[in-house]
Amino acid sequence: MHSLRTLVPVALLAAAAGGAVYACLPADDRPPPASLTVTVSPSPKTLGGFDTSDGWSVRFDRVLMGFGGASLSDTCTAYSEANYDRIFDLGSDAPQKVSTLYAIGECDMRFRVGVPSSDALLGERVDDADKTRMRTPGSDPYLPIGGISLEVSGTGKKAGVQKTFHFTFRPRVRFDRCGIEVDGGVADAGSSVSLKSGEVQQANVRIEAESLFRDSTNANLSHFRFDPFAAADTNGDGEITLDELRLLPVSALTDAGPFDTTLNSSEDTPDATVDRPGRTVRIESVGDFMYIMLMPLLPRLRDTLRCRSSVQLPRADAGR
Amino acid sequence: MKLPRFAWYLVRVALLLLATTTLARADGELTPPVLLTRAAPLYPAGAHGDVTIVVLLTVGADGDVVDAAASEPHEPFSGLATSAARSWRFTPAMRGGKPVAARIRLEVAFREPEPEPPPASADAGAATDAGAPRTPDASLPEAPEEVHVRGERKEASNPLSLSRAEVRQLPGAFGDPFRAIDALPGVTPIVSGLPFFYVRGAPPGNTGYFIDQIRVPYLFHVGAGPSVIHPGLVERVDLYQGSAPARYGRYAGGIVAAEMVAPRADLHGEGNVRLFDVGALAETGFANGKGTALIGGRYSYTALILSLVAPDTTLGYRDYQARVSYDLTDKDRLTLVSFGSYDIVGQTTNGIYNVLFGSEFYRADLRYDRKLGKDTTLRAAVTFGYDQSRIPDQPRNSRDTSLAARVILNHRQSAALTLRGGADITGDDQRADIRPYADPEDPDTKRFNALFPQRLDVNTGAWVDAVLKLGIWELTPGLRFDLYTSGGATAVGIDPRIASRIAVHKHVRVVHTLGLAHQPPSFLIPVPGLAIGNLQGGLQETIQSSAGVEADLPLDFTGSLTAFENIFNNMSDTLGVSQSPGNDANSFREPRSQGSAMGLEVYLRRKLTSRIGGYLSYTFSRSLRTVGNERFLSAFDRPHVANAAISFDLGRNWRAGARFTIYSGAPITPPGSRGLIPPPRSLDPERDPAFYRIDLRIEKKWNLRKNAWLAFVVEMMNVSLHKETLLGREIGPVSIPSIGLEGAL
Repeated sequence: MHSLRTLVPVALLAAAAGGAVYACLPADDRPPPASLTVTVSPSPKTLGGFDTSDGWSVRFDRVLMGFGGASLSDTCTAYSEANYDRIFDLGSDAPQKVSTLYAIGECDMRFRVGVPSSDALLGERVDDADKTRMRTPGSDPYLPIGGISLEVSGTGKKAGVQKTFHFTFRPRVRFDRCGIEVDGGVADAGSSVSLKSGEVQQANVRIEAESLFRDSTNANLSHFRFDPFAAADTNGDGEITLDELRLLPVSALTDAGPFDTTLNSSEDTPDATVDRPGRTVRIESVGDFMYIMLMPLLPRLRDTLRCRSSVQLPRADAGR
Repeated sequence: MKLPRFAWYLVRVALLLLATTTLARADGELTPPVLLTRAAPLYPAGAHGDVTIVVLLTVGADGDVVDAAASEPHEPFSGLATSAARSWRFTPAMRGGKPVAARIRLEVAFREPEPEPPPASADAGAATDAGAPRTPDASLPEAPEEVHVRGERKEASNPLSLSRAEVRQLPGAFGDPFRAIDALPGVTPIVSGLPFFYVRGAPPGNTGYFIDQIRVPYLFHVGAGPSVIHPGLVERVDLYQGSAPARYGRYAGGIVAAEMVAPRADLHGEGNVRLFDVGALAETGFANGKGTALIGGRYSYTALILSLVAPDTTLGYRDYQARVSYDLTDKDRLTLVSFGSYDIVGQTTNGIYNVLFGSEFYRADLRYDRKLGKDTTLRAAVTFGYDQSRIPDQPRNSRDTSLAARVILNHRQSAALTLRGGADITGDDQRADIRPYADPEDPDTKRFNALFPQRLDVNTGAWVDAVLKLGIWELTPGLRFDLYTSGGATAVGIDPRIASRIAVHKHVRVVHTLGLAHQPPSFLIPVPGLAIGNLQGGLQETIQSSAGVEADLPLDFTGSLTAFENIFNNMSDTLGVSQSPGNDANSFREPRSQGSAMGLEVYLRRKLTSRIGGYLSYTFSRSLRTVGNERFLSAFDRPHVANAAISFDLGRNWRAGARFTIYSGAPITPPGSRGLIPPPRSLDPERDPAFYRIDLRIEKKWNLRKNAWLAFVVEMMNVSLHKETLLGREIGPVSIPSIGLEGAL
């Protein structure tokens, strides 16, 4: 007992002094990561316009998009995430930076098109007025309240006829599992990025605004058509609106091309009824088809890879 | 005029050697035992009046108390007196130069808690030791001598106090006094089981945590883990919901102040082995009782358990406590206290170990206590601190290396007046590793760097208060002054505070408090090593007021009814004002807001250690925030929060308890607002569903021998496996089971 009483105080003094100065939290001694800079750029057709199979010449005046949330799946060891977002005007040829990620491993890259956050940085030719407009709540038949995630305007010309269009899309669309397009679907690519220690990589996401005018979600089979859109201008004011497209039966497209809805999601059903998180949408009009099915086709990772998309429509009865 | 009563509870032990009945023969003169150490018995909660217990002690030849018995039963006082006396230590009685066993009689006097502390113990920690001379004169005279021993006290500012003995019986608290805080009125949880809460509308970052006057960043290990201090070291935890005494500054919300148990020179200890961790505490004396040494700690083996189901994931926590005290003279004591806590959560992917969460803090406090005459005590102390955290999503550490000094003086001028004062200075060197891999344009990175710049924070403060007794009226005016400097910015906080207690009846008291409190900008929750720098946005300010009545009720019940109102100015309540905390919110924002909180608190209790004990606490409140022109409910405004617990003795050392907790859901953020310019928020929004949970505890205890016992405890928080909905998302169920053995000697 006596020795214990001698030993314990000595041990305690040592513990008190030692514990006070010894910090246990390990320093970061991991190997240097790879850096992956994500960029976006417009497709040539988005930048310079394109001709449709039914004889229209389509040009985009402006393609404005909220884009960001770039991240990597858990199979990569993430060192630093930078999942902020930006607003891009896709009228410039040069790739614009989204963010830079640091990680090691093979994994899936994810990103989103959505309403810009309050932190969103402004890309070239984008100003605060654009940001405010995109973040101001509004509604459409598909979303009772939401900002603007994609805004597309332009003109179509054919034989002296000119139609303008201005479409706003409000849903947030998440993209992941990017891979090679096979039969209109996405091959299970497993990993879309492979990052080794010390590497410097860039991954560009090409935005194909022209996909809004496809007659099918299968890019390999589809054609660009504008006749059905022009026909939607029932009031003859020369401006095509989303409301007008919703009045145009989807048969206007199915009759013209290989219309289908089986390409975008494993949850899709072949009878043109699409299950989306939170609701079921039946594709009945050209407007439905463009808003729900074609809009998610715009991004292409590394210019070619198609990504699985998840359109977020929060209310089951929205739009109907 | 009656003698003044003081805010602090005073136990007065009149050590009276009424007779020395020797077990030795009468061949030679008998020298009586001399008291070396004594643990102060606590004044029993719910009891009333001044009581003196005569205790018959048998002191062995080794100086240990062999037996202790009250001359006549007077529970709960007699039990407390004998229990405390068993831990006392003496120099043995001597006859002919040889130690012999002896029997002595002592009087242990309990005095009902005073509203203000006596001068010898006017400061919570300072007086604990200084006012409790553990080693009286070695040549204790045979003539009766009166010795003052400090016990539990109650401030006029009316803290809610939790003793460890009582909390041990509270289901869901796992024996941790800190874990019982969320059961008290005025406390609004954020999420069940997590140790972050609003106190009378003030956010978690505005609640200050002190252990023996030492500021600490938090009280609990990672997630729903146990407290960072072994519960056996905690004598009592006080919660000041508002208008804390002037000695507590630099926090604009509540104060949680824990007091360590007084040093004991007899070898004693306790330990526990549970499902997730093992803990132990031991203390002994040296140098003939002039010194004491304590060591304790806890180690979790969750990593071992977790590795069975998720081999790539690690989760661990550990803590240590050490204390060495030495009486230089009968008036001077030197004490070194050190404790620390460490938490880590990590995951291995691709052969690379990633720290997902990591934090630690350490403290070493060297204090010198001196009695300056009969009515004055002095404490001077120096504290070294080291806090560090791994910043989530940023592979770097942020740390705070601190050095602080404080001096506290307590002086009892007269029976009607006690003066207390002190000063302190704290230097915090705040640094973060340079982020090696970061997108420089990332708004999070920019915001973090702006919010937490490397700098030196120096806070200097002085405070004074007085305890006045004017008949039935006890008044405690106080004032503290703080000068804050951070990275070249300066700010001044002047905080007047006053507390009043009027005994309108023998069993009824009316209590009022009013105070102003300032605090530098605070992070949304306390994180070691992360403090907002440069006084960005200025000091936070709270005007805290309350009015209540407390009454002694039949059957040993006590009750209180308190109305409160807090007015918040320039608050950095990121949690409370976030428009959509689950998504668009960013941890590194610091929006300033105004606000208010008002409510009514009901507290009815019967000591949980009674044969049948329990409590009911209920808070009805409304907490508002204003940002710009928008006025809305705080994101964690919960109008109704209720807790009820019962603990009962089943006989044969079986004891069981149950606790029921229920509270309102938090306001729901308007749907579809993610990423948008937010619409105005409603003052009457829809809410998440209410949450309730049931905790159970059952214990079987075996008393082995003197002061030694073993207990088998089964306890579970949220046995109902109820899930909580927060911000529209279902969480859990967060349930914590615990099976373990506890013991003490």
